[in-house]
Amino acid sequence: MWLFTALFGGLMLLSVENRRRMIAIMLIGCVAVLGVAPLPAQGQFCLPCVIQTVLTTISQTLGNWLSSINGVISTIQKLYEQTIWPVSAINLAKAQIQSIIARFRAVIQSIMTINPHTATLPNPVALENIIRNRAAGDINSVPQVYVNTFRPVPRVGAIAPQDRDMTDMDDALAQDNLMLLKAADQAQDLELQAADQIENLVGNPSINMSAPGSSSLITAAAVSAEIKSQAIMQKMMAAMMRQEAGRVAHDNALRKRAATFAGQLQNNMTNVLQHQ
Amino acid sequence: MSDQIIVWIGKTRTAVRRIGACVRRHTVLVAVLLLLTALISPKKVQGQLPSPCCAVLAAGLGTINSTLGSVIGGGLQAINSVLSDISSFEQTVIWPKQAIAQAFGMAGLIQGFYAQMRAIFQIPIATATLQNPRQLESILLSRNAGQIPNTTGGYAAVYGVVPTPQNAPPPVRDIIDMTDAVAQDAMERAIAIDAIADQELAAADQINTNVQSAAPGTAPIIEAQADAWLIRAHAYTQSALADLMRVRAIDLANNGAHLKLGSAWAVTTQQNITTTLQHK
Repeated sequence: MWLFTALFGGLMLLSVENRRRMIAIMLIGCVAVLGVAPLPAQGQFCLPCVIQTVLTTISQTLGNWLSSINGVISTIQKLYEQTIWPVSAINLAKAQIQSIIARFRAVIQSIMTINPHTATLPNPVALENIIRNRAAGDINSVPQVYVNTFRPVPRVGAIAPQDRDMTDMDDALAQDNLMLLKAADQAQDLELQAADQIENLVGNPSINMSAPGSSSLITAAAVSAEIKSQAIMQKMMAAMMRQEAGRVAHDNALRKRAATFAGQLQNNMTNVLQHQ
Repeated sequence: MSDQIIVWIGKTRTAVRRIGACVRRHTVLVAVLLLLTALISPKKVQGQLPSPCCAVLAAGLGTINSTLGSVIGGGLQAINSVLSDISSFEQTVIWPKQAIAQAFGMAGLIQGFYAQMRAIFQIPIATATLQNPRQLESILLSRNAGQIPNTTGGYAAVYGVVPTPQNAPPPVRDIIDMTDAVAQDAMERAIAIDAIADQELAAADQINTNVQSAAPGTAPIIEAQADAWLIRAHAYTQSALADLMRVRAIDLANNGAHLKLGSAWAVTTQQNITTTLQHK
């Protein structure tokens, strides 16, 4: 820029005697100087300041955020490991399960092994045995053994027809229930086995056998088993209702007959008195 | 030699004078040429040689790099370490795969137990031998709600019907009818409860199957449904118990009615005997 200024200055000196020429050179010189003049520098730009700002952002803003995130995750970890699922508490729960198993299961099982048999005569002993053996395999033997003890329905002519029907119905309801109870007994034993298995699994000391996360699956399966147990309970209730209804119906049938006989007796007495 | 130098100097001086004269004559043209030269001449650019600015930038970038490594990298490493610990804890203590597999196995085992029970309860238990009792028994053990309307006919065939007004006084007819009603109701309800129990067993089977395809996180959803079914099952059990209690209540009421009617008949008989004796 300085060079061009000097050159145009020289040219202007050479043109001193001609004013118009000098002005023209001066104007051209101004344009040339403006063309080659450097642009104004960015006076306020400070590279170290910018770097320092970036460093501050990294170390303070981002660093603090990372520290906060780390703190939160560490708190969650602490919560998991010390409050929600402490390994010591998991082991304690399993130990408590084992303790309850050891304390109660054998006692209850030994109590349930007491199976009263008090009949003394051959037929009742046989019936008592078959209805209390907690097995369904011989369920079809019940009717014969029942008949041996309670005798068969009387022959035709040996009893009034309605009494014969009612006797057969009473026998049927009683036998049906005795047979159903054999099935129920075996079902109860299977339920007890299922309960034992569930308890054994959840109380297993190995974390690979029983863990807090797997217990929800076991619980869901156990609840479905509860529904089935309740259904079996309903079947037993239904059987009991049939039996009770049969008993009440039988009593009511006798009442009907007594009423009928009383009415007939009254009519007969009236006839006899009228004849006299 | 010196003569030659003097000649060259003289020639140069002459040339400069001529150029000066030429420039003086064409001053404006020279100015325009200078302007063009100034405009088309290349600008100064930053070469590849190091400058103080680059050194500051390099030092700054180096510091940023080390800060990123220590602050961000260190922080992320710490977070990664904690997350790895949590992941390991969850996989080995909370939800170990082997324990989950054991739980699935238990669900299958329970289903096996109840399949056996279901088979046991399918064994036919009908034992009546005569026609009317067999018909009534087949209705009662049918486990089919569609059979409920047939109960009345089967019941009447075995236990008879309410005596006619000529054969029984109104109080006795009332008692008999009420007792028949509650007995039949209980029998019908027993059929319904049996049918419901079968449906519950099937639903529980389905729930158990669903458990075996569930995940630890979804098992509580299935358990919630199973709980709902359990509540329902309890309600049906209570319903059965209620019908049983109604039968027992009517039975007790019959005992009381016997005493009431017996005392009334005793009083009537006493009065009749007194009247008869007075006539004599």
